[in-house]
Amino acid sequence: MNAIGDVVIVGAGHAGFSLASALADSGFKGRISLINGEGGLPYQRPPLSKKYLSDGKHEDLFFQPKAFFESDGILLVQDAVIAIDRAAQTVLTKSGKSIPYDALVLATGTSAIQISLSGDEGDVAYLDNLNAAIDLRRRLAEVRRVAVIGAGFIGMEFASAAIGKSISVAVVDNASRPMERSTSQDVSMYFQNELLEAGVIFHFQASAIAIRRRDGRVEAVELKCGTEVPADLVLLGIGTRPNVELALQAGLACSNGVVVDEFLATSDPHIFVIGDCAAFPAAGGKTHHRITSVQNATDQARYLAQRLLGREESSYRKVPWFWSDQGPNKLQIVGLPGQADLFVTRDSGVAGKFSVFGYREEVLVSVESVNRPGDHALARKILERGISPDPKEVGSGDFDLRGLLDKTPQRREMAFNN
Amino acid sequence: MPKVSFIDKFGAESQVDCEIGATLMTSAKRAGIKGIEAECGGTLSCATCHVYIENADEKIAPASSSEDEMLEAVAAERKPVSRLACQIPITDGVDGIVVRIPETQF
Repeated sequence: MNAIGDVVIVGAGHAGFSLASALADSGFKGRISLINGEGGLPYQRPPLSKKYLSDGKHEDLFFQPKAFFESDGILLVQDAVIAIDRAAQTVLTKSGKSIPYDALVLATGTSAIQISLSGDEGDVAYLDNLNAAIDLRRRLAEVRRVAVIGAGFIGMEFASAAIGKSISVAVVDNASRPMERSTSQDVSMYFQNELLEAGVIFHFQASAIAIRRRDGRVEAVELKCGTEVPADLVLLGIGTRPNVELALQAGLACSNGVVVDEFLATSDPHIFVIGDCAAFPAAGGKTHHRITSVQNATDQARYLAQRLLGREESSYRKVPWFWSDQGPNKLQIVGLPGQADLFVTRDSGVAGKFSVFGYREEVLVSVESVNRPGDHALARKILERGISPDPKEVGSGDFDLRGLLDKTPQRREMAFNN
Repeated sequence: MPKVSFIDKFGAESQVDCEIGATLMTSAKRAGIKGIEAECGGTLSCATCHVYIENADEKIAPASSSEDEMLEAVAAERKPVSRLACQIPITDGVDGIVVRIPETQF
């Protein structure tokens, strides 16, 4: 790759910020423009559905203070990109600026999927940015009853935060258990039981069809089965969609994300995509997938920084990991449990602390750890090194996970197949 | 305010006044100290705020079992003086500690 002068990054979430920071840190000599359509200082999203809702400090959400961008030569542009001119290699901003690029990186992330429920007068809440979190935190101080539609990570984390404030909480989902697509049955049931014990009411295999109001205020959510769930506040957390509008408009291929190759490049050699909105090759290139996590955003950012600097020849390959904090419980996941066809639970002997090993065709593909950070820490290394312990042995609490690493010190080709 | 010395991977030292009630990780971030990433925002999920504190003595409470377990995931060499900066609250007691930042967090 030729030397690059101007790198323009669209989106200042974990992916965009990390790329700017990694380029600056690696001695990049050109100009780095980090375009933040939201305004303000770039901030972290994960705490918005967790600690920030209860007692998190606003200033701790920021990646770095303002002075960091100045001292590192990162031009933080408070503007929104409205179009890409691929022929001229420029982006056009809302305020009318035209910014030239040698490399353009789309790190536009995702937005909450919105649905229109009858009776919604714009007060159904979504949680996908800081302003929404500020608003929800304020509303949580005023309401008595909350209905959460969607029992995914956002819904479960929000429900945990709300029940912790002694608010009545009901969770509605058309699946049959929480976090169904991303976790094994055992993990799912553990978190469901924890929230049940805390007082949360679940409505599974149910869908919300309308918001009922009285005197202009939200009073309940009506379910298709006829049940009414009383609520002063309704949060919709049914998933996210990738922000692909700019890419589509520029004629780039999009299919559940902006499609990139194994080097995170689009079909235009000057345009790259990282983070939640990137659809990158999986299963040896047979298909593409999109991973929405901090790890994926920052690993892709660091990879692309080296690639743009001409220091990286190999394709992008990393084992994904995730975490979720729900009340006092911590879930940490390595790999993708959704790919597994067999789950083996490894009990620690202590209630509320266990890990679930997921296998696909007898090869380890995921490890979910509940309140077992040690298992998680080891599992990251085990999957990175492509080690696959025997599913018949791994369930025993006596099985020595660390011993696996000692026995296989060299890094082998990863079994994990992105 | 307690003063803490941070020594970066190149050996450059910075003195930081830390606010009581913050953590060592947030204090470093607010002061613009580099090399303490804290990708999970300080929730003991990622192990990217790894530091070495050589003169901790009785100034800092020892690591909890969860911190000790997550230290297994650090990218740089784990040493007996390894800690996760997000787990160290700033108290008057931390005044004078010297915090070395490892070569890498990834």
